[in-house]
Amino acid sequence: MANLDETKTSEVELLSVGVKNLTCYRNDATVFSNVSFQLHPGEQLFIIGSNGSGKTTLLKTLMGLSSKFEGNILVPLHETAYLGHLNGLKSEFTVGDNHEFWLKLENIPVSHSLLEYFEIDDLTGTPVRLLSEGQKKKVALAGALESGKRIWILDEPFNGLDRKGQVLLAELIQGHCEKMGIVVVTSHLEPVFRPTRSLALDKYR
Amino acid sequence: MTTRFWKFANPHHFGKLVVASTPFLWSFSFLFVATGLLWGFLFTPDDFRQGSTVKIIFVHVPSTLMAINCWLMMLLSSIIWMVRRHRISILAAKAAAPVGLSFTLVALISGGLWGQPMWGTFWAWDPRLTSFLILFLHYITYQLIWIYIADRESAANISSLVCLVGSVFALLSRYAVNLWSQGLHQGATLSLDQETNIHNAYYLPLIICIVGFVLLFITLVLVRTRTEIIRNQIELMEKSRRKHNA
Amino acid sequence: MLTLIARDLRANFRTGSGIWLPLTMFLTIVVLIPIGIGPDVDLHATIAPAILWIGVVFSVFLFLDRIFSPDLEDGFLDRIAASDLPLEKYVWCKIIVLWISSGLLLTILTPFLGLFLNLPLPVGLMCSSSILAGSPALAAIGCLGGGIGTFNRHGNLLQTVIVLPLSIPILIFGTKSVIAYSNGEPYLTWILQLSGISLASIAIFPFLISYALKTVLEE
Repeated sequence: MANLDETKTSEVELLSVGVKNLTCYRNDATVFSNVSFQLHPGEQLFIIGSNGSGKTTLLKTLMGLSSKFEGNILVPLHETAYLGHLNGLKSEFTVGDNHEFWLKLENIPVSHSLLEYFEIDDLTGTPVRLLSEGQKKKVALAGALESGKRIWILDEPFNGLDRKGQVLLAELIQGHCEKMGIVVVTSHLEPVFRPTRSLALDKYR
Repeated sequence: MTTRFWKFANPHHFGKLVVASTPFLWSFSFLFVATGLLWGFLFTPDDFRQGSTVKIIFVHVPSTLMAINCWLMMLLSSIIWMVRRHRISILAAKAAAPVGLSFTLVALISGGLWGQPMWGTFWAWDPRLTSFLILFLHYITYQLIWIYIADRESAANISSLVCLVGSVFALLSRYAVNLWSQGLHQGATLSLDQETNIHNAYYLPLIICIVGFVLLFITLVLVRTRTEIIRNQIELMEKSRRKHNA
Repeated sequence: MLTLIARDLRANFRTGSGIWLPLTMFLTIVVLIPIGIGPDVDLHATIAPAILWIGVVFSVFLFLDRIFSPDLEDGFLDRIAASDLPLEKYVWCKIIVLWISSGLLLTILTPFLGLFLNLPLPVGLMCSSSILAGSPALAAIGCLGGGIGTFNRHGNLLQTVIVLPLSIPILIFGTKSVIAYSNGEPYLTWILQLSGISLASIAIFPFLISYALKTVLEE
């Protein structure tokens, strides 16, 4: 502890995702109110809630995509990778094109390591429209997470994945957290792994 | 001064103000419009060239003025909404749009009716006529945005955006159309320093008509804004009731 | 940004319709109006600038519902908005792509089609340069319409109604410059004003359109 570099400490301290007394509105109605949490490096937050409880709204608000809220939000956006419940893939392009596009957009050297991790690297030449839902999800996840950002905010990433894919993703998330990353994940299903933190949105109606 | 002004931007105070002032506003605008029009139509001499058709001026000129001023008012309200996010401001713009649309329509129709005996045609692509047609199109666009965008906050944002862009492009069109040709319209009819442009017999009733139209506009916009506020509150109440039931 | 432009252009080329449909629309208008008028060659030459300009307006505005709604439907826009790329840059790329795949192509085609309308080649070239100067503004206006049109299923009506009054001054300046040139009047001011409007539109509209898109994303 005594040897810990001063600057390192402050960097680690800076990197946190926090929300204080957050109330979100949608169509002039309150979705949820007074949600607070604070995540430190190495922690995962699993947001659970029934349909319409505001999981997507919460993530969108975290990403600054919605301004209809009250309360305080702290998310270092330039350190954050985000994937909504839609994949954002262009069906007329191949897997490789789609994957490389997102990396080029963020000025990151092209790498296919996550495609290999999800065992879909043999599909790089296939147009996305020929893929199954689960395969599409894997391509989107690979593109979003390959960026090497420290914070991941993922909306329903387990949707459409087969059992093996879910396990792979869960291990990926665990591994990211061990490397002092922060992960925020929503799901309406029971988690396939034991998250360090969880938040049941239904209680904040 | 400013704090007192913004006090009336509070929906509650605004509602009180409107309720207290509408009876006076209604009666004054009725008084002025009726006096101006009756005087203008019945007690002014016929023009030696235009005959009695000249009397359409008492409807045409005030409605033209109000059509433009109403758009300016909407532009101002939209900017206030974009800067200060003030609900009444954008609701006032929404309330004013149909009023302005009607004034524009009245101006176009009365112009056509006047043009037929004078210029021999209901419609000509004269610069002023054309720019009024363009203004009319802008009003329709603005109105349709409120009709077709369901979410009120989004509609407020988009309508103020369209009002802003529309104002710039309406000015551009005015400028472009002006360079087409001289056009059929006469030059300035009314100005403070050149009263000689229009005969004294028409001047006073015309001024009364204009004041009447301004009062009518203010009354209509205030009443309609209050209606919009109440409609908003009803919607919110219904939403919260539905949520409680669910 | 180049990645984004290249990718959209490739998509337009690949689906084909993105490039060929504006051209076909333009050709249809240029062919149908003279046929409707009949073989009055002098009349054709008189109204040729107007025909060509209206053809351009229609072709640029042909695909407004395809600009932003596909990106909104498949979540692309969400990811762009959440990425480090400013939304304004994305919108700017969209304007440029729309301009390249309609305005720029038609600029190249105009002098030849002008001959077809009995328009002398110099006047045709003048018409073409006025279209070159004015079509970026049309593309920007079109993207504004497309962006606001994404709000609901009435989008098509909404975007047409938005685009119509805004395109009027461009049309007036455009045709006026050609007519002034063929009448031997000074025409340069018109072209310069048109270019000014275009440059200003390209600079300012991305901010307005991304304001609209952010509102859409909040829904």
